[in-house]
Amino acid sequence: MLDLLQSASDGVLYGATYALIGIGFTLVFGVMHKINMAYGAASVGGAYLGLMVLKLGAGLPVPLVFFGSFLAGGLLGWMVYLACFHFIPLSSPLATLMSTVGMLLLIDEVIVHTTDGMPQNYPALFDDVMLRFGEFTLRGDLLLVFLVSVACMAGLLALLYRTRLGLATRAVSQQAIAAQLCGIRLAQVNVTTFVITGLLGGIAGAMIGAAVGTLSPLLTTPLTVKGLIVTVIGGLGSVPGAIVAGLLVGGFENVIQLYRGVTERDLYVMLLLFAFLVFRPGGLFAPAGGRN
Amino acid sequence: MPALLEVADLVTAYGKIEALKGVTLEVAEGGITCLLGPNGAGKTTLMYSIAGILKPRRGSIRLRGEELGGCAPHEAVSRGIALVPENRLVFPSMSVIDNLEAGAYRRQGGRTGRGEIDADLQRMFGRFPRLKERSAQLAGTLSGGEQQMLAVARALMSRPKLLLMDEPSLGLAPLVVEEIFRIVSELHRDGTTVFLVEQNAHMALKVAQHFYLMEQGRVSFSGDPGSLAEDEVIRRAYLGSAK
Repeated sequence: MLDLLQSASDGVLYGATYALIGIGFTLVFGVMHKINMAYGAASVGGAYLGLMVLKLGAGLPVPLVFFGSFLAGGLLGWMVYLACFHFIPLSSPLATLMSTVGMLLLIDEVIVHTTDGMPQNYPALFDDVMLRFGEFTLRGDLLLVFLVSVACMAGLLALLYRTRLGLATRAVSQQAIAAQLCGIRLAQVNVTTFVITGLLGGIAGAMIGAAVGTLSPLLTTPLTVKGLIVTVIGGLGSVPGAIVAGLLVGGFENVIQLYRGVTERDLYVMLLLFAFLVFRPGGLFAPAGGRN
Repeated sequence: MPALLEVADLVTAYGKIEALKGVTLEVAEGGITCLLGPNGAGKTTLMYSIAGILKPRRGSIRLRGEELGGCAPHEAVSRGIALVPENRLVFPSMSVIDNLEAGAYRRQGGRTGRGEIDADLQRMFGRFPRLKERSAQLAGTLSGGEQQMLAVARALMSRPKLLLMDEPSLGLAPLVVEEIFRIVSELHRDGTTVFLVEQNAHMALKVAQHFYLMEQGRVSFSGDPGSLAEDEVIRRAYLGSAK
């Protein structure tokens, strides 16, 4: 029983990174009704760039690596928008899917070539800290991952619900024509959404690096798949849904790992996705359609 | 009265199909002008072209003599055009008050102070008491009539010179339609210029001073309410056969 609780809580803490990635997919989908397949790779790319900053300036304080990843993620988000969306006809549903899959492969290749395919050690913070409650423990590094992710989500929600930019973003994702009639510029909202999701992705990538202890190009594909699963389970376009689903998937996979081992883990995550697609295809928080 | 809006020889196309085939009409300042026409005549296309959502292929749209044709929707809003779109298109998962805030989007964060926008919000709540009661409710949960009022109030939040309304009575119960038209004539009394698309000619006859009829992308009739009621074809198609 304690093992179960321990795995679930470790998984939920790590799941905060899935939630961040899910938010990134879901926000872009909400605003543009497009899937940005390059998002997971760009997030890992942001983490790599943050790590490079740390290596170039030896002696810099380690937390700076997170800030570097944050900024690099935003920059990559903007570049992904320019390369994969800005010049591509948005009316064609397949065009941006192909361009972002291309970008996913490109980012992967760039990472492999610049690091000779070798995993890079990532500085872990607070990995020597351990909160103990009897037999039950909370790992300091996972706790940091969780708290930073939650702080980012809180920041995002404040942005969405308390600012003019957030108002515009919500308006565009709910009714794009009416948003334009209110004088909101679609292109502007689109590009800022990419930068903001990129910033979140950079943080998520950095957190994953910190929790795993290494960065490797092998992270991108599972992260993309998990992010998409979280997005679907949460409900496409729903930010609260992505948060809940991210924590849920994180906890679920860790519990499965405890009982069935790491080799079977993702199989059950896929089954969970399948169950949702069959029994609740709109996800946990299907956005309200409104009466029309 | 001088014309606030002049549309001349406007052509708007979807690919190869021309939905507007050279539309020319005027909207008098301070008046209510009504555009009638069957489904598929191009009425909504005309509204979207004026509001900048669709790019016209040819022709001109002038507001007080200034060319608007081809400008982006946000520029049209800044120049003083607001459209209450067909089917209302409220933001369903946003509160009533956020919907209204979105209507004032271009006035926010700029020179207009917060106080002015808040004052306008209060004026809207004065005009539409139902919206005040439901200000925290999500717009998607409102009834059709309430959503229509929200859409009108949202458009007014931009302080437009010209209010375009695309079939505000569509799908609403007769009593609610009466209320919508009462609001239209109130707005008119307060000095707002209204360009109204309607299928309900009976109601429109009570408020509008000038009528256009559009068929297959062209204006086929222009006249005052008297000449509209006398026109044999229109009477049969829009007012029923009874005289």
